[in-house]
Order: sequence, then C-alpha cells, then structure tokens
Amino acid sequence: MKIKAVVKKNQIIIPNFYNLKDGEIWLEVKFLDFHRKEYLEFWEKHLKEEKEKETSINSEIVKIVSEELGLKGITLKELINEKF
Amino acid sequence: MRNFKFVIDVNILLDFLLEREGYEISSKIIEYLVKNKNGYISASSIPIIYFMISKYRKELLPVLPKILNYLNVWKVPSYINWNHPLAQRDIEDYLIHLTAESLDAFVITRDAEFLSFSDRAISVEEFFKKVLEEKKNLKIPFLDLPKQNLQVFSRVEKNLDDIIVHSKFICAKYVKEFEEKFAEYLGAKFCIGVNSGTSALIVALMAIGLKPGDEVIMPVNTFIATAEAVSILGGRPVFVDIHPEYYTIDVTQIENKITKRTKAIIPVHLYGQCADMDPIIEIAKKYNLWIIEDACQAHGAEYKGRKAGTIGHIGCFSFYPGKNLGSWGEAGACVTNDEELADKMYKIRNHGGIKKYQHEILGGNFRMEEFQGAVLNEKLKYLDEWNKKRKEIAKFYEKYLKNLEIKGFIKLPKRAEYNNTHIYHLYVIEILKKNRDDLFEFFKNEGIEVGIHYPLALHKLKVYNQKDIKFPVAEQKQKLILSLPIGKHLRERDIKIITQKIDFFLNK
Repeated sequence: MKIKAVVKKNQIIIPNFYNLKDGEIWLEVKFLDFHRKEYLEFWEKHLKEEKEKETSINSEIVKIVSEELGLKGITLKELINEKF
Repeated sequence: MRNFKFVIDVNILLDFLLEREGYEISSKIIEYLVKNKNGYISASSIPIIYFMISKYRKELLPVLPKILNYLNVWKVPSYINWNHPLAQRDIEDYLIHLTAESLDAFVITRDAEFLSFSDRAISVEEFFKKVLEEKKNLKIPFLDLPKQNLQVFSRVEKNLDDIIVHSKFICAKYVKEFEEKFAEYLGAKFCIGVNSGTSALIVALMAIGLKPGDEVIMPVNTFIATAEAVSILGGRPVFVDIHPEYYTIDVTQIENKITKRTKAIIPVHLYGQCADMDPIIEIAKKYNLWIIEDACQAHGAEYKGRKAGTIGHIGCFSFYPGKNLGSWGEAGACVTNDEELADKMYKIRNHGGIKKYQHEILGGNFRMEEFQGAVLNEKLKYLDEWNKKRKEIAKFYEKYLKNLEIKGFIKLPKRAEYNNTHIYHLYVIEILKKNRDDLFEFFKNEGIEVGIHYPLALHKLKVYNQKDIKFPVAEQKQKLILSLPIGKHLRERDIKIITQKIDFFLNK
C-alpha cells in the first residue's frame, strides 16, 4: 500500500485514513533520493563518450573564415579581464 | 542576416574552459560570440559545466558566472515533445535543442547524433560558413528590438511568470510599481499608466474637459495620433508650421492661431528633442490655455533641466515597442504634478471610477496591462544607458557626415540653442542634393533600413485634407527628410558603412 505523507520541518505527517487509535505503528519508509553526484558523474562519462566520437573538423574552412573575420581565438584570461 | 543566434553545446564550451583538445577552435567560436553578443548556453547545461569546473578547474569557479554571462544563459522551455527523436535518444541534448528552438537559434555541436536528429544543430564548419555569410550579406536594421528585448528577457521572465501564476493581468502591482518609478525618474508627482500613447492623449484631453468644437493647437509635422485624439473627442486640431531647424512647433506662429474656441496647445517633442517650452508657457498663461506635452518620442529628453512631459499641465507618453522606452505590446502613460488632474485621469482610464462599479465621471477602458508594467519596470533601468548610446551614435553620424554637410549635400539634425537634451529617438537628416526617394530605394537595395518621419504632414492626409492651407516649412521638409538607423544595436563600424553609402550615392 502506498500512502502520501507530508514532510513538515522534522516531522513526517501521515494521514490517518483508518482512524487508528493512539499507540504505535511501524511503517517502512523508502526515500526517493536524487543522487546528484552519481547523475553528474554519469553525465560526465556520457560527455566523454560523445567527445571520443565527435565529428572531425575541416580546419581549412576554420582557418579561411577566421582570417576573413580576424578571429585569433580568445583566451580565458582575456575573457575574464574583458579584453576583447 | 545579422540576427543569427547560437547555442553552444556543452563539449565545445568545456573544450575552452578546460583547455583540452578542441580548445583552439572553441576559443575562436567563443571570441566571435562574445564580440557579437549572439552566443547562448542552455540553462540545462549549467549543472554539468559547474560539476566539471569544480572537478577539474576549481580556480575558475569564482569567475564562472562572469564567463557564462558573456554567453547569456537561456531558459529551457516547458513545451517538451517527448516523441521528438532526439528526446528519445538523448534528453540532455534535446533540452539544449529546445533552448535553441525558443531562441530561434542554432546549436553548435560536434556530436554526430545531435547533428542527425536536431534541425537546430549545425557543425563547427557550418557555424563558420554562417558567420561569413552574415558578414557578406550585412543588413543594418533600423531597429533591432529582438536584441534589446533578449537583453532584459531573463529579468522580465520572472515577473511574467509571477503574473501568470497569480493571474492578475490589469493595473495591479507591476503597473503601480512602474507608475511610481517612472514618476520618480521624470520628477513628476503622478503617473497614470494607460494602454497606448494615443489613449494617453485622449485621457489627458478628457481630463482638461475638451468639448466638441474646442480647438487644440499642434504642429503639422507629427504622427497622426496627436490630431486623432482631439478629433475623436469632437475637437478641432489646429495646425501650426514647424521650426526649420528643429522640426518642432514654430512657437512664433502659435498666437496667430488662437481663437475664442482654443482650449489647449499640444507641443510635440519630436524626434527626441523638446519644443521650445518657455514661449509656449507664456502664451498659455496669457490666453488661459492648457498645455499637454506630447512626449511620445522624448523619454528622458530634457528642457532647461526638466524632463519632457513634466513642463506643461500633463505629459503624454507612448511605450510602443520601437520607442526609446518600449513595451512588449501597447502601453502609454500620462504624467502630471496636478493632483486634481491626476485624480480625474485615474478615474477616466478605469471607466470613470476607481472603485469597482462606482462610475463617477465619463471614462473608458484605458488601463495598462500588467505584462507591460513588468516589462517597462525592467527596461526603465536601461533607459539612460540606451539614450546615452543613441547620443554616441549621433556623434558618429556627425563625425562621418560633416563633410557632406559642408559641401551642402545634406543637412544634419541640430540641437536647439535653448538648453535642451536630445535623446535621438530618430536621427533625421535632410537630403539636399539628389532625390531623397532615390536614396531611400538605394538603401533598400543595400540592405540598410531607413525611414521617413513623416512622408505627409497632417493637413495633407486624406482624413484632414486641408490642402488650401499652406505650411511651407513642413511641406518642404517632408520631401527632404530621411531617418537613419539609430539605437543600441549599432556600432561605429555600422555608421561608417551607412555614411560611406550616403557619400557614394551623393557623389556618384
């Protein structure tokens, strides 16, 4: 049986559908956690796989257009220091 | 062609940030996007970028927000199509695709699957070909509203969400906030948000009690709305010729037009420059007339230290999208320092009453929408910066066109000799050598958008048809004037291109 409970501060409030009398009741609680780190590591692995399979680039086109547009390639330092 | 936008796939950005294989190419892509301000990152890519940087280049973490800001983080929309082939193969890539879809952008990627299953995805080579194509087919728009609006979108988006979630769409907290801020910006006591510039004029004229047959004096060269507002209420617009240098009402001709029926004067602060208000105030006092300033083209312009719209009894503003302060639809405002007039205008805009079903006077539905209030609140923060940019562009025009003026080929706009701040809503020159319409066509073929404000003076429009009355200055100017592109979207190199083309055309 699944019952929707409400979490309020440090309490888990369970609706008393069956009008249970005062006393103790044992419930098994399963937390549906979102494993962020695991997920991101999975994604990193996925990105690495994609990187390994990525399409090759015709560097001649890049070279010609870069020259035409005067693109030298910005460095991280230049970007951070707004020198562009 | 100028409007290509690009979303960067995560791996290309990571090549740059982690300085790994592919760095050389990604640094060129990023250089182009940063310089042209047309690069974006999907908000869905942030967690993995953050994770990778914290793992491999922790020292970059403090500057990461700055780097990402140059590339503009863009939302992931909620209209997910789970059946999309890319969504079924790679949901992360699909979210990036969706971001690009909401922006009408391309995704630059080296991922073969992404390239196969997304019509938004382009390879690195295609990106370089596109930017070259963009350069070769350069078009200069008169206005670039998408660029301006994208700049404020993420701030506005939050407020739009709030409006939709609470579903309070008319004259609620965002309109109130805008009214307060705009009044403060102008130095006025009251601001009444309405649903267009035309409505602002109608509300103002109703507030001063304009009756059928009353006459209202105004310049003959302006947008129809100024006269239309008077005519709708049964009044009679009385036209006055314009000043030959400043294009605003010729104040020396106002007094000749005053009759027993004259109720008000509407000086129009045309093209971003105030009319000469002191003589108008003097005349109004002498004949006991109302002054309603039409400041629909003068958001932030000043006359002797006072903001346009705050000098007469009422100031009327339009926030039509193309204005210096433009909404995302229709909106306007009336401003005043007079409490009694303000009280009337609050009522008039809302069917004649402030309380629901308590209609005290005759009014109408002139209320401002919350969406517009939310947009204007954010855009107001940029108004001075954007006006400053317009002034810089005007200086570039002056620099590159001065010689043509000396030769007598053109006439540049003049700043009025009275203490006046021009905010260049429009940059209007006169073409003295060769035919203005031929130059207009030439620009059209060259991909440069220009305008004419206005091709016909009001008395010549079919609706007024006062062909017997002569307005020599306005009639002469309407054949010569040409509005050049102006706004934040332009750079000095654009002005060079535009002015070189004018030079070429006039000298050939």
